[in-house]
Amino acid sequence: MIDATADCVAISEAVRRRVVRASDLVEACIARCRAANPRLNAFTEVTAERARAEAAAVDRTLEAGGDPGPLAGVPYAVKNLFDVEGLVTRAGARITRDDPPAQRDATAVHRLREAGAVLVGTLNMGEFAYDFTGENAHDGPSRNPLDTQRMSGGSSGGSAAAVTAGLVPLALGTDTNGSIRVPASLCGVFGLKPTFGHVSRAGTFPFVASLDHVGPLARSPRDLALIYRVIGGPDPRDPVSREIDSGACGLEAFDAAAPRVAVADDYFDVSDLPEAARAVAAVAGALEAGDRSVTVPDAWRARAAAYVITAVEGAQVHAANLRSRAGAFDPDVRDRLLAGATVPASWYVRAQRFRRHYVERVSALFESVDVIVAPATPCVAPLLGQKTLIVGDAEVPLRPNLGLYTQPISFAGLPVVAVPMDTGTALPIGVQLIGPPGSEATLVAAAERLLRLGILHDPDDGIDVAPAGSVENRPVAQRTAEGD
Amino acid sequence: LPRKIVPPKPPGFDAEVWLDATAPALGLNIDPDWRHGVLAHLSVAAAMAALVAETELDTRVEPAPVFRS
Repeated sequence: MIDATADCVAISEAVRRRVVRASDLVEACIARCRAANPRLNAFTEVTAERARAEAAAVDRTLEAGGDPGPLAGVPYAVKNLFDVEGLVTRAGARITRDDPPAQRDATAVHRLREAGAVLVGTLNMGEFAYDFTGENAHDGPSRNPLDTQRMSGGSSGGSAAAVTAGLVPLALGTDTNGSIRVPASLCGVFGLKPTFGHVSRAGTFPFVASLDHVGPLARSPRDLALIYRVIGGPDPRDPVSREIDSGACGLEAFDAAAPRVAVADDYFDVSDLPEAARAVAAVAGALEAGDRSVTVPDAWRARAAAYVITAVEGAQVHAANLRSRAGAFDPDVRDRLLAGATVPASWYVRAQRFRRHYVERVSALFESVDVIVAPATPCVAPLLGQKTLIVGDAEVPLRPNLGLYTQPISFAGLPVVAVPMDTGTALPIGVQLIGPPGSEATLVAAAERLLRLGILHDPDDGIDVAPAGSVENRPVAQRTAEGD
Repeated sequence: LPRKIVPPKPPGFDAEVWLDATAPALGLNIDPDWRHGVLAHLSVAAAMAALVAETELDTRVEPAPVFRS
């Protein structure tokens, strides 16, 4: 049976073998989304008409003996900063509501459509992606399906919530300083932040051009590999995009030789954070890291430099609106953007020069190690509205520090797979598997190894299996004969 | 750990003086209700920038962005 627990690979195989019709799947998916959204607030728009048309096209292609692509009939949704033809690109903001509708799909959306995937909606997010919580002053928070009084994480909060709840098996998000990995950690799903430039950002509402990445949140490592192959690669519309070795990210990579694994220490030491510490230790043990550890040089300065670059570039995207209607921003975002708009150029250029220096030093780590294990977040999902976090004896602001461990990694542009771990409670926590540029295949294979060892959080824990959410696997011919 | 989370305040930077000088020059109106929050974030940015500046960089280290014509 294809139900809310199925991943993209399973759905596509069932559709391509014609044991289930894409049109039936999408109706079940739309029903699930509409039933769950009042509770989760994950979707800001359900694109039912487009979804039905795309699913029907997949079914027609199969009936004619054609190949609809590797994601045939797979329903998915996108963070609402992706351009979707005919829809206004909200980017989580009120200011954008009167913008004209997008004239064409974002590149990643276009590539998913070409691969046979079916877009069912757009997803809630923190305003302009300047967020780690999933809270939003205009649309309300996207809620964590594992406990709806808790944060989904952000800024791709609706993306993580939708995948966790089984509303869709795949959601696209963006990650500038951690906005895929933080919500993946808090909601208990898999997330891939690819190497900087490996997935086109064209047609997404920009946040920080120097740091923005596009990537998937999904229910299995093999789905991350599949989606990366589909959406990755050069795009004339994104000047930083480049070739990827997509062949190296096939499922055969799952049986590759065991990578050399080490645990990140120093800045990434989480002795004061027991849930994160146990999760990192479990992953390190399963991947046979032994007592190997590495020190990411100057990680706290990398975070600081990312902060400065984010403040400056983020503010400049919104310079005109900050002058003319600053009161229309989410207050949590507005104050940071206004501060960023005044930051002196010397701080910014220094941070960009530091980035070059830092990347060269970080690259040297990978001469002796293939995968670095580090925490994804300092804590499990906080309560909605929570403002501070206890670390050891210190009480620190929650909002910026949810990205404490993700920010120095994306600053180096390194690929990361976030894997979900159990904590002994209903709330999971993520661990980052970090590799050198272009090592997505190794990281996904390591995640798959962890999955097969049975040590990961079960992503099915977040699913309400509603009767409307399932489609029996029956041959299409039989179902048609029965008239349903 | 505290240094990891909250960098030390840099000497010689007065966020209020800076904001009052630059905001009008940049055409930004800082509502009195927002001022506390803006100053807080500006102070954190100053601390972060000071932390970055601690690293000695060779004169020839280029900024990270690359332009291809």
